[in-house]
Amino acid sequence: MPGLPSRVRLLDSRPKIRPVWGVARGRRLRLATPALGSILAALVWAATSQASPSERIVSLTPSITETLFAVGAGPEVVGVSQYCDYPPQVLSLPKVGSFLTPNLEAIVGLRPELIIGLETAANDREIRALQGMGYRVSLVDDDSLAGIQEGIGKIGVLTGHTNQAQQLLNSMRRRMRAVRNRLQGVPARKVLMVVGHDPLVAVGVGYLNQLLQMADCVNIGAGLDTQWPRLSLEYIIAAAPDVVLDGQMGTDPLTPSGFWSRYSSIPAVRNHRVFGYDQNPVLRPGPRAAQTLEILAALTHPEIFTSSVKRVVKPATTDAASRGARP
Amino acid sequence: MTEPAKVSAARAPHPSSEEGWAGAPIEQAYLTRKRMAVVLGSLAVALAAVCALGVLFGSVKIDFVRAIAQPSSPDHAILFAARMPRVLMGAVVGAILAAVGAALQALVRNPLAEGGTLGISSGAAFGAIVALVVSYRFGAGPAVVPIAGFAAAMISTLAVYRLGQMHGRIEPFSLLLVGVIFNTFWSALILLINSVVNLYQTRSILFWLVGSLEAPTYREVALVGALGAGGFLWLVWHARDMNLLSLGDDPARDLGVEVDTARRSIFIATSLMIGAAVSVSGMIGFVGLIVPHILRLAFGADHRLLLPASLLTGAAFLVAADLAARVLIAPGELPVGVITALCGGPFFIYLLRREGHQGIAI
Repeated sequence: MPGLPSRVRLLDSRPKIRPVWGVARGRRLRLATPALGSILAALVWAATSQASPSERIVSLTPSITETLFAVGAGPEVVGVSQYCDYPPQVLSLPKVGSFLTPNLEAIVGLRPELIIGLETAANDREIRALQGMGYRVSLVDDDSLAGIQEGIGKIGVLTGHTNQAQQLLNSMRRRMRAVRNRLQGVPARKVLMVVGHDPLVAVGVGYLNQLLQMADCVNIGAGLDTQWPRLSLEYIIAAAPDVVLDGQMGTDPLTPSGFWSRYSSIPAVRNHRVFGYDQNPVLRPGPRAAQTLEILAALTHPEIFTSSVKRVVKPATTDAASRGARP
Repeated sequence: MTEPAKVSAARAPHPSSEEGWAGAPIEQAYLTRKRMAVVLGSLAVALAAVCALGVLFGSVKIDFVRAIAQPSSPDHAILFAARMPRVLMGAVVGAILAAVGAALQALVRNPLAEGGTLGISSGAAFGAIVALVVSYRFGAGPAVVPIAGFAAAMISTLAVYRLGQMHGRIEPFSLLLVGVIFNTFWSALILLINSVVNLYQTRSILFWLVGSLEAPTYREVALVGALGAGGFLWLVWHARDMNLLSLGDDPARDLGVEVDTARRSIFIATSLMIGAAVSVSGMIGFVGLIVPHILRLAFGADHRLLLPASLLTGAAFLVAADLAARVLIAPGELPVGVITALCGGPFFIYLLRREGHQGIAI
């Protein structure tokens, strides 16, 4: 068993001591190495810590990946979740499972120096395991607009891109303010926003509800106090939304047409205000939240945003198989 | 000489002349026209009452006068476009699941048989999910999902049927085992698909797994109802065969049943019905299991009565369960499969324990 203790030490001391310099060589060149090895290790450590706080980053969700690339930390990202698809260059990066079930082996195999995940309970076990192995794990929140902005700031600090993060936040705030200004004095609209109608899962409380409020909308799904409520059709008809935003319709080009036209007493259906939206970016909490707000505002107040509407939205008649909001 | 004697003794019905099926008193085991009319009449009244409740109550309160008088009012839309088709679909699907459960239990002489345990429902769900994913990727008409579900139910049925055969004959026990294995296998495939597809599609997949009666159209109701009615008439036509089949293959054969032919035609009719039901509502569990068992305990095991009684009770049960799913957390909604399983599981255990060591008779 002489080999075992050194192995254990190797694992334990991760990631402070580089195995090549610190251990393997050290055993062979018994006399000269202690001094040389520690000097080299110190040099390597100093070099890496100066260049940037973390050079090998693994992201566990699409929103974090987007943020990393938006603040300019993209080149340091070595692994992303299986659902990450934006910006396009992440498609070629190694996948480390989904945010619900991160793949520990894949993550460890990428020798990450920083792992960024969500503060959700779903991957608790894996996060704790990674922390237990000595990895640096940071968690951010993306359930609310404040959480998203905080997360961008935090990721900027963690990756040493503080300025870019600040610029990104400023530009997001500017774009959101611009939308708010254009909407000044317009009547509020009752809006139903669904992920899809098969089943009818709606947007409830959360950052999308905040964006809808900013777009002068009253979200009829917000009454249930859950983030993705399953609303009953009867309630939707009774609530009589002025606009229906349907993510299935906007994302899946093969959505059966005519679902909403069966319920023509809904004002949105009667007035041809059922629109599809593309779930990517709209359902991605992250740096594209400002773009999402622009899309939502344009869809719910087309009379204000006539110029941009043509660009973002192809209005859907209720009978045609429809899509829209593909920026 | 003792070996065959033992076998036939084990397969023979309970020898006591004091008791009929499932321990019911002998007078109940006789099926008279009057008893049939009384039982089916009262069940039909109960179904009508439950349907009326299902129409009266929902996640929102509506004004029925306005709903009928003003065709453009939201009340009208809620009543006629949302609530009525849903109640009707619940009745049709529940009726199919329960009637099929009753028939399949007789067919394989096992109390655990139903569309789910024989792998038919999960086969249908698998087909529907594959169609969902493939049509998302490559493009196909929207009608392809229920059609694929139906086709997959048929294929799954044929596979179970073929593999359940031993030496050219259907062995009820191995048929059930093959079905159970298929059920697990399809479920595993569904979870496999679920873990590789787009995040947003996983919701639709869950929808098939749990089962829901959300937002059906009258056309779907009519289509499933027609298939269900056709299959049901076919089953009733074979009700006497089922009575004899539940005695065991050899007694049934001795009494003039063409066992393999009867079994094949019943099996195909049931999978037709289940395929139709699952292709619109997903996998709603337990209806096919508990309803026939309750009715057997209450009215005996004569399939001439049991089949129509299961039809009516299954319909009433699912409409009631769906009503609960609609109103319990209104305006949110629970999947109806959750309600049926929550009611069904404990009740089934109760029945099992109540019967004591005898278990549940077919």
